This record gives sequence, C-alpha cells and structure tokens, in this order.
Amino acid sequence: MATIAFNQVSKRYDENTTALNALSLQIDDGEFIVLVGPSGCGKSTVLRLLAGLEQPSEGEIAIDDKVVNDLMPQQRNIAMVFQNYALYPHMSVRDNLAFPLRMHHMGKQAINTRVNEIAQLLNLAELLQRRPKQLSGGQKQRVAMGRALVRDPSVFLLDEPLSNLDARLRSQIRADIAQLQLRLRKTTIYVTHDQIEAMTLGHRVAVMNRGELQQIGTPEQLYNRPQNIFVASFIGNPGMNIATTEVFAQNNDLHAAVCGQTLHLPSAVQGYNELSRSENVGYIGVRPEAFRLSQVDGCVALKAYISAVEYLGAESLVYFHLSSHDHAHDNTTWIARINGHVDATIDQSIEIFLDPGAIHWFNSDGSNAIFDTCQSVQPRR
Amino acid sequence: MKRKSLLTTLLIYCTLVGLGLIFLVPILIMLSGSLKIDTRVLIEAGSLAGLVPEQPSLENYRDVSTRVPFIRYLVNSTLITSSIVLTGLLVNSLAGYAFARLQWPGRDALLFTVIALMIIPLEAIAVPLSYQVTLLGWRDTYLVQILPFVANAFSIYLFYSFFLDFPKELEEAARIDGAGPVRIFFSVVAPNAKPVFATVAILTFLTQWGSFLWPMMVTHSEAVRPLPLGIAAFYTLPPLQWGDIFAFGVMMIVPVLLLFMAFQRWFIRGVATTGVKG
Repeated sequence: MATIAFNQVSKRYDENTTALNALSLQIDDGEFIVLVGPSGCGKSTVLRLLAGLEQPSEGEIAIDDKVVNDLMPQQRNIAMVFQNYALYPHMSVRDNLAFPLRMHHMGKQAINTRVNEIAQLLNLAELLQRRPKQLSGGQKQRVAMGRALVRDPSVFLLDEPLSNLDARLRSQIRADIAQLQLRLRKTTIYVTHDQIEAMTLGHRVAVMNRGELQQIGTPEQLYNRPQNIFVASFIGNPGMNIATTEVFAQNNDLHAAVCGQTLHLPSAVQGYNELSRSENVGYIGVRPEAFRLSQVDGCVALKAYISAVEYLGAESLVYFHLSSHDHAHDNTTWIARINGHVDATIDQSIEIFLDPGAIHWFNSDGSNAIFDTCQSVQPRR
Repeated sequence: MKRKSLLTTLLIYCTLVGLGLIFLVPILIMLSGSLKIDTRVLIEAGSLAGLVPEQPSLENYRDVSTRVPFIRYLVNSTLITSSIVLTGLLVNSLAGYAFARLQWPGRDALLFTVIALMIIPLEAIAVPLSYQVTLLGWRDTYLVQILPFVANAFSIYLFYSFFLDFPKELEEAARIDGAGPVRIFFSVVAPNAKPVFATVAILTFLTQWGSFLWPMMVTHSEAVRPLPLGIAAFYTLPPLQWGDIFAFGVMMIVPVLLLFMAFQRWFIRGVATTGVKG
C-alpha cells in the first residue's frame, strides 16, 4: 500500500524532445489510476519514471512521502506488467514467477509456497511447467500479472497490458484486473490508449496529450465536464462534436453562429450568465447523444444534411453536415447517436434537435471550458 | 504459372547441387586420397573414377601417428582453440553488451575504434606483436597463442549488433524484479542469445583451428605447436607422402565438422539474426 506524488516532474531526451512536461499528480493509497492518451503523449514515460527505468530531468517523485528519484527500480517495491509481457523465454512459468523472489534471496521453501499461492490465485497451477512460447496470449498475460504480484509490491504498474489480446479476451481480463485490484487494494497505475479500458477500470482517469496532463477526474467528470477540447474529443466514442462558433447578443438573447446556422440560446439555458459574460467563446461541443430527431420542449432545431447512417443494432450513428454541399460554410462532419434504426437517405435534409443546456462551450484556443455543465462527482472506490 | 515455379525450383536445386559439389569435391578427394596407397594419390587425382579407391586401406592414418606426434598436435590445437573460444565468448559478449546497453563516457568513440580495428589483418600487426611477446618472454608457450586472440573486434561487433536488437523489456523486467546488470546478463540476456554465442563460437573455432602464421612465428617446439604446423611438418619429412597428408587433413577437419553439426541449428539462426555473410 502506498501513496504516490509527482511534483513538477519533467522528462526531456534532448532540447527538442520533451516527453513529459511539469507533471504534478497525487495518487492515494489503494487508488486505481488510469493514464490515457494517444501514442507519444507521455503516459508510458510516467510509468517508467515511477518504476525507476528512467530518471526525471526535473521534479520529484515520491512514494509514501519518500523521494525515490535516486533509488534503483528494485529498491522502490514496485512491480510492472509490460505491454508484451516480458516473460523470460528460457524459463518455465514456475521459474518466471520465482525469479523476483530469488532476486530477493527468499528461501527455496518460501518461494515454492508463494509461487503456488499466486498460481492458485490466477489459475496458473496447470501451466507451471510450461515455457512462455507454449502459452496463449491470455495465459501469458496472467503469468505476467503473477510475476508482478508475487513479491507483494506496494505499487502495481501496468503498461497497456491488454493491447496484444483479442477483443473478447480483453473485456474478460479487464474485468479480472478490476476484480483483482478491488480484492488486493494495491495502488495501481494503468496506462492505456483505449478509453473504454480507462473509463471502466479507473477510480480516476488522467488524460494526457503531448507530454502534459490535460485533466484528471472520475470517468463521469471527464465525460460530462471536459476541461478542454482535447479531452472532449478524446473521451467518448464517438468523441464530442467540436466546431468553431461565434456567440453574439441580439434582442436580449444570445445566439451562436455554427457552420452557417444560428442557434438561439434562451436566457433560461444553463450557463447563460457565464456565456453572456465571456468574450472569448471559440468552440462549441456537443455529445452525439445530445441530438434528437423529434422535438422536445426547450430544444432548438438545426437543419442537417445527412452524409451517412451506420446502424449498430440498439442505436444508429447519423453523420451529417450543417451546410448543404452547394453552400458549404464549413465541412465539419457531425455525428448524432440516435436510439434504434434511423430511416434516412444520404443527402436528405432533416431537422435535428438539440438541448442548448447540453452544449459545451470552449474558449477560442480550445484550452478551457467556459463553464461546467454538470455537478461534481466523487471518485468511485 | 505452376510450370514456371517448377522450372524455377529445378534451377535453384541445380545451382545448389553445383555449389554443394564445388565445396564437397575437395573434401572427397582428400578422403579418397587418405584411403589410397601413396603412389596412386596424385596419379588418380584428376579422374572421376579415381574418387573411389580400388583397395581402401587405413595405412595412411597409422603412418600419421608414427611419423608426427599427431595426438600432441591435436591436444595442443584443442587446448588453444577451446581456450580462445571460451574466454573469447565471455570477454567479447560482455564487451558487446556494454557497448549496446550500458551508458559510459567514451563509449561511442571506443566502439568506433573497435569497428575500425576489424579491417586490420593479423599479417599487418604480426611483426610488432611478435616483438612485443618476445619482450614479455612468452615465446613458445600456450599463452602466446591464446591471449592475443581472446578479444576480437569482429566478435564484439557481432555481439553488439545482436544485443542492440535484444528486447529491452526483458532486461527492464529483470531490473524491476531486483537483478543487477551482471545478473541480468548471465540470467536473462545470455540464455536468450544462444544463436549469437554459437555463431561467434564456430567462427572463432574455424579461424583459430586453421591458424598457421602466428604459431609459426612464435613457437618452435612440437610440445606447444597446433595441427596446422603438424601438417606442414610433412613437407620437411621426405619422402613427400600425399596419402599421409590427406589422412592428417581428414583427421584435422573431423572436429570442425562435429562441432558444426552439434551447433548447426543455433549457427544458422545466428547467421540469420546477426547478418553474417560468407
């Protein structure tokens, strides 16, 4: 069990390559944190710095309030599961599990007992004599987890551990990992580029981009209150629709010009005051599920030109533009998530409805939300 | 399409058989010559029928042992070559690993020097080297035939290029598991580097087993001389008996063939992974 603190930690490989920029992050004892972001965003660097595989260029890393910058990986009492499992190919499963214990000079009998315990916990008992190449992807993953757990480390690091598995196995092992973490209550940092893993596993999720922490919060906070357009478009599948906008007052009401159409924003709409005060609104964001095909009280109507419809069974994704091809002001493709089947043809123009209260507003460089659209949410534990 | 692929296959096989014969025929001539009586060896050497001895005999093999101390030469060669191979594997693999994986000042400059050294042949440095070992009083010893060949630039380069591509995660996993650099090398890296160890072992063995010039320069007694000097000794023992020389040659290449057969699998994989050609 351990708390972790990153205090203004940066990692630079040379003058032009900054992998991580001034990261400050506090992780509670027993917490499950997921770092998510696109390739090259610095999330694996965070893990490697914490593991001691790399040295920070600046800042301090502390485990249980003790600065560990100068400690060797083996002195930090952490364990790590690598993306490609990194099982020792020349050793049996038993020897792979026993290796960390041997390195810590544990007695032979104690090693056997501990290895058998872990094998039992992860259903590996029948595989103990096999070599890694004789194992399936899922089995290798379990052995890698076992090797990480066997030493009873205080921090558990997982670097994209499911990325080499097929979709079905991934969801099964995802559930296993969540259950295991709940049972063992180890402080866990999990790196992934898959937002489904991030949203389903993390007590809190940290979204990273270009070496910087964009936002950290519960999955609900990230989804409902994205702090910038990167988080808004990265979290959610499909991500939030983002377009440039211009907000202006007319006849005592606010209006927003979007892709050649004007949205009327009545004074009763949530965040009206903040919006009217702000002089720096640059982007509008709408979640796909905020659109409706039928009028509901308070909704505003937009004219949509359908470009594609994907029927997914329980729902359909409707791709549309707000300008016709002939008068294209903006070629932004919008996506609406509509329940059930949508009977529409390509290039058909329809009315699509939107609750103005569900709109997210961002400043002109997309770096900040104008106001939060939801109440704060406590981390789930 | 099918016919074309059949023709291509046939062509490839014919080429391979042709190439195989080019390499095999000298060995067959030597083997057949070693089983013939001395007077027939050169007479029949040019004919295809001459490859099969009329009355095969092991007489030449018996002669080898009586005319020269073959066993002494064999023991010397085995001792010298295996010492160079074993210590060379240790020294060169550690050097290659240090160049590929560890960070230390002057590493790149030293690596450049090592690579540059690969193009300097022994003949170019044989005289100053000989002078140096004479000053050290090492002439006519095993040591003088072993020590200069333990560290080898080409072997270091082979190990270096193999370790560059070695999966870093295995070493990192071992570091997190609690192993230090030496333990990582011997417990994780070396057991997974068998192909390059086999390649370096066989290439070093082949070079050293046939080494002639250096032992010729620095040794004079049969007590420490290796096999290639033994075979040369026949020229100084008239009459010149080709059957004996061929029998000696056969006995000299048998250990090489056995070694190659034992490590063939690893050697081929090593050649493929390290990109050694020729």
